Amino acid sequence: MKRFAGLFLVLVMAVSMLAGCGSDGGSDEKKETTAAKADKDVESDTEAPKESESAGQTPVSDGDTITFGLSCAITGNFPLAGERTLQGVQMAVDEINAAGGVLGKKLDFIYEDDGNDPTQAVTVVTKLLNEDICGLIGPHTTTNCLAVQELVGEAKIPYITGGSGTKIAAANNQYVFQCRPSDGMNGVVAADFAVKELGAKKIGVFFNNNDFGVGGRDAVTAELDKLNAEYITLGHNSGDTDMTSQLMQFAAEEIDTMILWTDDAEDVVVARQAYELGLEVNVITSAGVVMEQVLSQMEPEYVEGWYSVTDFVPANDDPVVSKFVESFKTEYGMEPELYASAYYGAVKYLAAAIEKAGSDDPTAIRDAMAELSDIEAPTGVLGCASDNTLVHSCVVTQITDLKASVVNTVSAEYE
Amino acid sequence: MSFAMIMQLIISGIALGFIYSMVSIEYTLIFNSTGLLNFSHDKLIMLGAYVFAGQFVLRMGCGYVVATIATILSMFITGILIAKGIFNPLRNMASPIFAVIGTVIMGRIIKELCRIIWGATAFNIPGFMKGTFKIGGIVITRANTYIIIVAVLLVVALQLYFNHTKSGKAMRCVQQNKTAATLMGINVSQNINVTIGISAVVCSIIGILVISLFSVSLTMTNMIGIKGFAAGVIGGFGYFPGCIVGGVLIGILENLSTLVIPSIYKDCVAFVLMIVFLLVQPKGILGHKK
Amino acid sequence: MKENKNVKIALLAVLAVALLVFPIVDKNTYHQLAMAQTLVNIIIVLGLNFITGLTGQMNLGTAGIMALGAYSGQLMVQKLGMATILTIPVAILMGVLIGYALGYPSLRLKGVYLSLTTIGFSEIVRLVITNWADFTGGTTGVQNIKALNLFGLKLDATWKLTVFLVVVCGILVFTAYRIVGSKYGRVFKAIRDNIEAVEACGIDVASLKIKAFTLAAIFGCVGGCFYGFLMTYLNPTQFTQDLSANYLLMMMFGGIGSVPGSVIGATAVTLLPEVLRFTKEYYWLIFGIITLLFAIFLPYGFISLFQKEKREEAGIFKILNDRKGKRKVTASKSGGMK
Repeated sequence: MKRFAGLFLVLVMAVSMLAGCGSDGGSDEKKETTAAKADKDVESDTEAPKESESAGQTPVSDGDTITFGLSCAITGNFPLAGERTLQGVQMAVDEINAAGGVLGKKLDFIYEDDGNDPTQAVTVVTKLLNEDICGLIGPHTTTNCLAVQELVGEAKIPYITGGSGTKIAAANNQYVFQCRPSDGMNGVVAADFAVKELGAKKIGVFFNNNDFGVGGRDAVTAELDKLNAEYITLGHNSGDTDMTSQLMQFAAEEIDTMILWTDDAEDVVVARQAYELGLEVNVITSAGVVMEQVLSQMEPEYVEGWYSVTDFVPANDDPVVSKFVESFKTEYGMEPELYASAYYGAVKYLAAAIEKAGSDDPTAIRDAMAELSDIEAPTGVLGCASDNTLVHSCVVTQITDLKASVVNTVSAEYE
Repeated sequence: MSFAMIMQLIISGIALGFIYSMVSIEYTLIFNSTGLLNFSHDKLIMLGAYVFAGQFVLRMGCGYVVATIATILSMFITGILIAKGIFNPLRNMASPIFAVIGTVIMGRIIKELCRIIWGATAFNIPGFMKGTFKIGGIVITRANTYIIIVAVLLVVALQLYFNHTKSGKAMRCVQQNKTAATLMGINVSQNINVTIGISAVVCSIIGILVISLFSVSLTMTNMIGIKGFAAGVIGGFGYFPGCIVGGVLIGILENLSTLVIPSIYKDCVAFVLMIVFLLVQPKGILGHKK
Repeated sequence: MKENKNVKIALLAVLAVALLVFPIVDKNTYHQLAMAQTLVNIIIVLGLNFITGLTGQMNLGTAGIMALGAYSGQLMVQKLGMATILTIPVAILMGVLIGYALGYPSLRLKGVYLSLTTIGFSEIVRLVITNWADFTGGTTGVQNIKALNLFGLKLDATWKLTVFLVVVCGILVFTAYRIVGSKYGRVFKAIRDNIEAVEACGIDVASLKIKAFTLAAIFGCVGGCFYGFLMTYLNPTQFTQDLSANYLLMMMFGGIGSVPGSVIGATAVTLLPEVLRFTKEYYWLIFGIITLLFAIFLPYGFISLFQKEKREEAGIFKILNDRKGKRKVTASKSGGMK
């Protein structure tokens, strides 16, 4: 009997947990009936909103709000991106509501933490898709995006991600939009810059062995092949803390330019060790290094003169950027970085699409998103290309005394 | 491959190896005393770094010496609290699993607390232990020299403590036979509390030393935590000189391996070595029998 | 007694029907997914229970085991065009292989060696999957996993897979239950409780430990295989040390060494964070604190609330009893004073 009581408890717990009404650990016969009743209630409760959704195309926003979902990494191994994302999104939503909302309704969002973990991302996105949302922003990284893109496509909800990997566009899902310049583009710009502007003779391509780094490496090497430049590639794992051996190999190969495609933490390690080992070469890096939170971890001499191909730097004369930087500073007391700016732009884009669609019907919004162009955002002028990327310009910046300044703005052609 | 390059790889390897060694010393202390592995040890190292850099140096503006002493004291107290809260209640259970799971959960809580208290942003102390020496074309960073010196001092100090002081001898007694120790009038629980306190202090020292290398972040210790275990096995489990030998060996071989295999497989070296040693020579290189 | 048994069977049947009906009736895919994840976790924890719960050997390589179970089948489907149903036997084979290959070296030795070997094993698996990009897809992972096809019946929606998982999980719970109650189960427990006594009985301890570990690996691989079908996407970043630790946590939360305990633990630890999501950025901390309190005050898990002898062995009940005992002593002393 006791063993059975355990099994029974599982049922009680499962039901009460799913109902979200907190569990009571009763085990006697009387509670069974109440639990069974609760069970029925739950089922009928969840059925009602569900049907309207699976019939699906016309979710009714209750009252005067239009809601979208946000999935970002508050916990886990990349919590900072989530924090900044949330700030950027919150600010964009506040601004839109201050200016009268969308379609005369208030814009609102529900956010959940995905811990930058694919399993959790799938759970969280499924949860959000079962809410009454007209669009989804995040999960962030390419890995998480690939994990959830099928789900989002099946649910027919437009989804904007900050993942910049080339594999996202390759998945060819018409509901997925990328709100940061694709690595394909950044990589090409980096390779061009190395060969044409810096006159590199021998290039060392140093990449992080994750989806982001490998995607970047492929883009860079393809362009270098096109330019007939000589290069070698070496990789490191995410979380590596000692790059001595790779940097020594680069030194032994006598490279004159290094193209570094990696994440924030590894950027810091490479910068320090390259300086310590006296590897004096031109360095062009991926986007992350220009962020305040990365630069603040380094001594000025580590990254002096480094170039970075990035989507956003606060020190930019562009009026849209400086206005955004100003209001972000007054709101949160710090300079925005690329996650905040990218997702700020994503919300602006989503709102514009809702306006254009004239309703909060997700399919209509998706179609509107695919047609929009010329939306001004801190990361450049947003508009949808045939591969569902929204950003088509990036900036080449140079770091002097831990401040990044724009050297060159590169725009790509798109339809 | 020039000679200088190989020497540079070896020197860098030794420096990193000493970090593994210290990690392995820190958990060996607890293992010897209680027979349990502390799976929150990497989080304790991280906590040490956060307390030193985040709290004392950056928030309160203390000098490095004051901050170090304050960190060591607060981590000692933390260690004793963990011992009282987790190790002592759970160490007498039928299986070590209970205490191990307790430490795993403890690690998670520490990580979340660090995120909530000090924020998710990785940070560094500007100018702290920065700089390099050059000896005949081979670069040695200041941080690495400190690490090597501190690690050696630590082993000497611990050996002296265990062999020549009364409380140290009592700790060894507890390691060998808890019942006999109790009969000799040694307070076993208290003894374990102090041991874990010392281990937490070693953790905080590691934390302080690696700040300039890894920056202070929530993921700073992920790899050294696990490789520290490998260092212990390779050198000889539960034996301090073994920890040093194992750690340094892993550090060197890891770096030299990149001459023959792709550098992305570097991290496998430690684990493959560990499994090979478990298969062939479970007592470790020094063959110390406990 | 017999009546009691009939009631039990009847209630079990009700439970089974309820679980089967739930994913069909509740169309909320989030609930279905949570339920399916719970079921997968139950399978894995049931396996872990053999080696860690019953035999008392720490296995910290669950993530690696799962990863191999998931990848081996899915890669064969994608590279060789194997039928999806065959991933299950492939996972079982993989489990047997891991069990012997890893159990043989590490279980001959006493002590903490299994936990260290399994940590190393798990890390190597993760690193190799990450870096052998041509074959495993590297960090881009395995995408577009086909739905499990049961001889023509395609499980292409979460609820279908969930119903199937209820059936599989039911069978595996029953199997685990029988193994625990069998001769092997009792010897496993004896190894944990008093290894010298088992050796003295002339039983080959090492081979039994390897058997227990193999069972764990098989259950883990099968769980990993279903995990792949459930997520429709595999990526090495999912299989970290944290995941392995989470399974240990599930086992402890419910009750170490007990089948119902494993089921309860897996359910609670999978669903609790989801329920706590309303606390936003603190949910993981709150979850940690709840589990820590369980670890300290109820180390034999939830199930020990119903087992008098277990619950009084350690934790809060022991503390309370000791208090009571002390009070009695002082009471009798003061009585004596009179």
